[in-house]
Amino acid sequence: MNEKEFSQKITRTLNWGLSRLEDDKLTKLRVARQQAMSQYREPINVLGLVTVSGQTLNVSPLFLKPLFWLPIMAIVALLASYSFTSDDDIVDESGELDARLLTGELPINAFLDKDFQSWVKDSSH
Amino acid sequence: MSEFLASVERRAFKQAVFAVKNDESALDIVQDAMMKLAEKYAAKPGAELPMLFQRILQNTIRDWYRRSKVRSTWTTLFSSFGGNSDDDNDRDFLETLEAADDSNIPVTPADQLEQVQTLKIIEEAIERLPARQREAFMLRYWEELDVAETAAAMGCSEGSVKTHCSRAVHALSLLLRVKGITLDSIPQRA
Repeated sequence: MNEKEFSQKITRTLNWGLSRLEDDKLTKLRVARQQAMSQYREPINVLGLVTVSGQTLNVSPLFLKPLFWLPIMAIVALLASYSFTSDDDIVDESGELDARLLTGELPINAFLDKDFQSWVKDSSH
Repeated sequence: MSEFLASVERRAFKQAVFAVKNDESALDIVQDAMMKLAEKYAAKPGAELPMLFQRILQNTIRDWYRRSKVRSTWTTLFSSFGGNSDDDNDRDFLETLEAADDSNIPVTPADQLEQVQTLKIIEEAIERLPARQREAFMLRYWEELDVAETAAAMGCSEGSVKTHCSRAVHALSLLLRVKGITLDSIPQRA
């Protein structure tokens, strides 16, 4: 026996039977549907990525794809590495400045100048 | 959502009637299932609604079974007669079927009468199927869900769905043959 063919004949007869449902049943079904629809809230779509409706939050399937996360991860890594290297540069720059000041090209007379030394002392306080 | 519910409500009602054998309870079950779908799954894409609705419907039917089982347990415990303690599965539901009201069927050609009789016999045969077989058959062939969707709606494996469907078809064919209905005698134009 062909299962599919048999099932099709059965369901075709059942479908025909649906058209014979009594009016009172159809009315009650319509009322039930209307009551259900009174609970329905139109979903709110946020940037096409998240849909909020009533008590549920539906996340776009895009979030589940690695290709979606790959560029974001790359951007985060890029920003993190930039931040790290720019901090190093600031430290390097201030260190270099100190070194130049200490070993700097101040003329020897500057160290012999008492006014200059007192100014250095005052400014260090 | 409303269009979807309108497209499935009649089949859902008949499914519930086949399962619980009571029109009022079936209407309550369908209404509960519709409310749950509209309230909690409005954000789901339209393609997922048939499977979700069927899963909710089947769970609501199972809840009804559980509640009625608890009710019947208490009724049995406190009944002074206590004679009707048969297991639900052993009942012959054909004997408890209400007589169909055929009074408003117009005088029609013989094939329409035959169609009505065939429908009645088929519906009775479907009611007599074991619950899981009926569920699998209805979801797979009447709701036209694929095997994976049927398995998800029933909460079982795809292999179980195939087994239930196959057994349902054999059982139905046997039940119909007993009533004198064969595959060829089912009218084509239903």
